[in-house]
Amino acid sequence: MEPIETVGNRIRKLREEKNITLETLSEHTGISKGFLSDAETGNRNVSSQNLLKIANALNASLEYLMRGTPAAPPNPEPLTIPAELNQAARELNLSFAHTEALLAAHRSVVARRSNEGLRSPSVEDWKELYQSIKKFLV
Amino acid sequence: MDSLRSPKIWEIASALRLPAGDSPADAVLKYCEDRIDKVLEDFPDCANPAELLDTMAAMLETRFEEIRSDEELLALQERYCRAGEFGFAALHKDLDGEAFGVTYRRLAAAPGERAFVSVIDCRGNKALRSYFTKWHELGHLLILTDQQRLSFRRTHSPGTRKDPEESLVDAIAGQAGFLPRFFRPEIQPLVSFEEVERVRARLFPEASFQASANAYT
Repeated sequence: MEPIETVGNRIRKLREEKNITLETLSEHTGISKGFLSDAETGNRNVSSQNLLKIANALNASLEYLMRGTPAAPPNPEPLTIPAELNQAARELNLSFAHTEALLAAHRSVVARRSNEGLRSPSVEDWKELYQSIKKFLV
Repeated sequence: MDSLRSPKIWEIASALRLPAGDSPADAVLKYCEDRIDKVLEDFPDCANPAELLDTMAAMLETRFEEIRSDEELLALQERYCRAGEFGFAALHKDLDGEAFGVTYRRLAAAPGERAFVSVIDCRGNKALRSYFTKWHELGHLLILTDQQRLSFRRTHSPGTRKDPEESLVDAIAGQAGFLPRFFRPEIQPLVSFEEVERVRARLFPEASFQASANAYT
């Protein structure tokens, strides 16, 4: 992504990408429309607290709004298909892309508060996961 | 706590490039404390625990989604799956039983959007633990490294003993969620149930009485 020079530019870009009007952003943040407009054009400085409100309303990365640098993506993980997923993929005749999507879905969990441990998915778990997401897969 | 002396905690400290010394858990807790202090420097208007929670979530690139019923869980699952976040397809399983919260790395986040979503289970009695659960999820993100991300799935195996990382993250949550700078001015010399409840209601309305009492003592 090309760096965008100012905080105001970045706010405007994200707001417009989400088709959110200044009025709506004003309602969600409690910041006046005039102030937001001035901030976007660089005529007003945005305090950290107001930037937080804007970031929350836009579901934006605060780091990106403040510094223009999006969060670094994680290092790519080695693609290792677990044996259970491999078997499920064969039995369901899944494409490689769909198998990869299942693995990515499973890998997207980074934290879980529980009194119970996690267990590795069984073949049936992978099949169930596929049934849940197949309608969303292209 | 024995689990805080396990090799897993040494691995976490090492992944964070901390000089672990004799107590890697203390090193990790200090690292988290320093990160929070830095955020408080950047956000000097942050005046209470709720605002700190909000700010830390934004700094750590996550958004909290609370569910209060099975219907809300299904609606959230559908919404995120439609947006390409296929990890949510297993949300109902990730939150079954004794699970209180789960954090997903987004698979389809647009540039500039937050990288994570933390789903907090507020169904039934789990709501009583929502404050601590939020800090627990942030605790994981505070110490998240690529190495951690990989080891999270590898080592959280079933068993009766609590995973050392979970114990560490509970300690981080207890420290960050009941930060002395907010808590200390409220503390009265004579502790009573009423006093703990007054502080809980004033500073940590989402926290359980138990967690507040633990912080008090």
